[in-house]
Amino acid sequence: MFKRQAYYIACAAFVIFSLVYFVAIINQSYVGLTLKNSNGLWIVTASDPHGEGFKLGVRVGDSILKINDRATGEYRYIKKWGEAEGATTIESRRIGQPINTINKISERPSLMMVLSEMPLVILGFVFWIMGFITWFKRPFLVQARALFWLNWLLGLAIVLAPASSRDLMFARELEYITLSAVPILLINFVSVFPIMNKNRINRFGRVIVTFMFVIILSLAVLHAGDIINSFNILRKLVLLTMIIGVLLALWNLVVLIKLPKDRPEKNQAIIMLFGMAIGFLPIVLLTAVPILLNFQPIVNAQVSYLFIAAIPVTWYYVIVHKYLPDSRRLLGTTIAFFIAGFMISLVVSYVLFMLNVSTTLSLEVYLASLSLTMSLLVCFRFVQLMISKLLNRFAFFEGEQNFTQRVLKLNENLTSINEVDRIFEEVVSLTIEGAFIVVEDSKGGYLKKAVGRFLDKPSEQAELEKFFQADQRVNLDVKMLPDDFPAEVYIPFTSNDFTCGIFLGHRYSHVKFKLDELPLITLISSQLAQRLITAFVIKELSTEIKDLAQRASESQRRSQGLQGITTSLFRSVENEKKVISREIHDGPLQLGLDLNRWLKYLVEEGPAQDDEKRIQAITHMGELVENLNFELRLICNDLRPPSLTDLGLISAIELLCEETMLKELLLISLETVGISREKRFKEEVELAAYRFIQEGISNTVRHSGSKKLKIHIAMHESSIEITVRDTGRGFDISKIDDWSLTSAHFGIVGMKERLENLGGVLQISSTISKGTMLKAVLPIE
Amino acid sequence: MNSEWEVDHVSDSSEELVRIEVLVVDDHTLFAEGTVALLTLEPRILVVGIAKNGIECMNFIRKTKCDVVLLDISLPDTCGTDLINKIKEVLPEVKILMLTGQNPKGYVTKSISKGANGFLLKDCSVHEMIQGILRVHRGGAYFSQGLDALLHASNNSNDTPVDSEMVRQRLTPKEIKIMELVSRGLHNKEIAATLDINVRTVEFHVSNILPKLGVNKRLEAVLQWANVDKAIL
Repeated sequence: MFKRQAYYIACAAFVIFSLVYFVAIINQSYVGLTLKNSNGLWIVTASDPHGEGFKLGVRVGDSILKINDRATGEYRYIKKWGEAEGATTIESRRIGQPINTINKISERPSLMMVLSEMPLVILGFVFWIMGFITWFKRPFLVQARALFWLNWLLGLAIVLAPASSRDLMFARELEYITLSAVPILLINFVSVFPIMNKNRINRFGRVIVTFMFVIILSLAVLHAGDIINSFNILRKLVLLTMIIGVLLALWNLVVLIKLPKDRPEKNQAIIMLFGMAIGFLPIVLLTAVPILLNFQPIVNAQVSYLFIAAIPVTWYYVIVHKYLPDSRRLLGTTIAFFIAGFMISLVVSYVLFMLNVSTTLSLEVYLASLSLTMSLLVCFRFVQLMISKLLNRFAFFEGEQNFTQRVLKLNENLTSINEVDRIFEEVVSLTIEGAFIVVEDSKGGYLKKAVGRFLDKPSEQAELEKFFQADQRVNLDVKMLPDDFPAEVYIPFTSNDFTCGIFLGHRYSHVKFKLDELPLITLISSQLAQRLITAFVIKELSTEIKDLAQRASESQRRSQGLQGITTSLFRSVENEKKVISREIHDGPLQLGLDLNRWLKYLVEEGPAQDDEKRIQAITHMGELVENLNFELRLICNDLRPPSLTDLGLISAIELLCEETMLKELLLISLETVGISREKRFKEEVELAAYRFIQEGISNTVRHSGSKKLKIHIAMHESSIEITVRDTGRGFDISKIDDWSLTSAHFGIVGMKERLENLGGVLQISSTISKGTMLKAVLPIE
Repeated sequence: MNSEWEVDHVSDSSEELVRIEVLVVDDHTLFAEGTVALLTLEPRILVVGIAKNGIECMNFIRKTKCDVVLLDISLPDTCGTDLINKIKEVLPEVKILMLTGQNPKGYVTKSISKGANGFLLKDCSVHEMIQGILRVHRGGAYFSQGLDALLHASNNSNDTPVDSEMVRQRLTPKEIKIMELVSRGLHNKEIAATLDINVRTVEFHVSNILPKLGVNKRLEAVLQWANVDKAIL
């Protein structure tokens, strides 16, 4: 919602603030004494071991009489905050001791001051920078924006802490204001997660916290203006607000964790909580625990503040990165690490005690050794990681890394290699001595392939085969074969009808396969097996296809041959007829004609009073000869009509029609279009057309019962079209195919083939009791 | 030898007879030689040559002149009718008489249209042949006897309404019997078997009946006969 400038201004303000306050604290020491007025006497209620007061020897229970040579109660900061900050001299008295001690607050050298306050400042800066980077990287993400402001505020609060503990320049008021504003932003940040938005408790909490913030703000302002002096209330209010805020935030996070596994927020919440736990742990251990258990910590706990930086870093990581690692795994490893640390620290502290380095075996010692050990462990882990990375870089030794990488590389290649042999080579490139694979299909088909050392060792192959055959394949687990076997790993594999056994030989290096290498190997091997099976199936299919294709082409050739035969048959039949007709015409018919002529001559030229009987005989003979000639002519006409040869198609058809109409009770109408009577075609064409019409007429006469027949002959550019139509019984066209099989109506079927052999078409259409139409189209040149 | 044709003949006392020169074109040797033999008996005709095919015919025509050509329709290398034009090209004055052993239907029209002067059946008598030669030489046309009926039969259409009574009278009893069988739808063979006669006889009768009924189609004959029958009954 804010513009970019707001962010940049905020950053600038932060930097200025921190610089200002940092410079301010350099010159002032931290006293660290909290006083309380009880019966007119100012008693020390808390003495911060980091503070100069503690170093001067002031402890809890001491009474402070004078600060800066003035009465304690008059001291400005005592009035304001109940703290002895900014004091230069303190006069104190221990309980039970009569003497008053006057101590001068020593000024620590600036460098020391800087160094000791550095962690907090650094922490503050880390908070701010992380917030800034998060917003910078994902400016449009609502969570990033919320995080920026939260971090900014937190950073500010932290940076103000040293100054506020020194009660400098309204730092405390500002700190309180800041701290009380934190819960608002905290709730805002947490409720930005999509689930939480509409949460009623969040809204309620937000209202409360805002309310408290307003109160504190006003109080602090009043306090700064010295109008009221209610630091206790203020302090308590701030604490309360912070607690409420933290509790609400934590509750929200817990709710997020309770989400089902598939919500991304769950993982995010877990990681954030985790970060917070890690961040707070050192502080809790090194600061809170001693305070709780009332002893002074040994180690300077300032450094532990730095660990809190883990929190903003975690938040940044969670917000900026969309895909996070699994938090449960992280949790697992870290918990293991910590537990190991704790246990080792126990040992270390015990050892220290034994070695008389430490005098007692107490919790302080333990905590000290714990921190030591943990830091050592962390450093150790870190250094180890670095070194192994370096070593991997320079490929010093073959760890599992190498094998895994090889297999992964192989995996990339496998998808592009199709040749089985090449696959094999690649598998062997895993520095295996050899591989052997047996494929068996349900029909008994068998395939063996060997590579490497198995290639020329048939005895070993036989041994492995026997194993394969013997294996029941009850379970398809990978088996490590016994040592005396030539192969090391046996991988069974089934797919559809195929069963395979893959045997992998030993490695050249004589290093045995590890169990965790097996999954990868199995994967690759099953891929290999699939490829082989596919190749196998393809080979079989292609042989079958070749076979089928061959058979198909053979049968096609046969049918073509048959077609050729029928054409030749037709032709030769017609030729025979033509020849016989000619022979009869040239032979017997001529004889008959001559005979007739001479007989006539005999009758005419004979004596007038010739024998009646003789004349009768001769006349009778003449009749016989006439009959003979007539029949011979008929036969010739049936065989090959001379009118067709001499006069042409149209004339022949006309004659045919006339003759038919004399013999049958049929009316034929002949219609020609575009043809003159003299038009001649090729002998084959005329013959086919004539026979077609002949066949059509005879069909009508025999089957249709029709009294009318129409013949239509039309000539087109490159074809001649003949239609023979009747109005008779008709027939079922679908039965035509059956005819050809039973040779019942060979006429039409034969006609079809004949026409097709000449490049023409025959069309038959018929409707029951409506009529039949035969149409022939023949090409002519 | 008293024959009719003598009437046509103008006796000439001159020793020189104008002999009609005839070329016989026929590939059937036996028949051709028989024709020559028969024609030699006729003094007015002189056979000047025999040609076996179209080529020989044309060669002869080009070399030797003749008056009449006896042309067989079926020649081995060509159809006789196609030869007509070629002959006329060389000898425009020559007369052509077509010969055929086949059913001449269809050929007649074609030949006449090509310019033939006459048509003979091969089994016609010599007398006819000589008659034909003389007639066409004189410039007329000659057709074998049998052909007449054919030519006229094809012209016969159903224009003239036929009187039923007359029809009945025209038909012989045999013909009436046959006609009745035809009306029943019997084929010629069946009719022959029923009446115990030759198929050819039946066909002959049928071909006589049809023109008498004024038709040239069997179905039309049946229809006509139905009218006749009704009328009578």
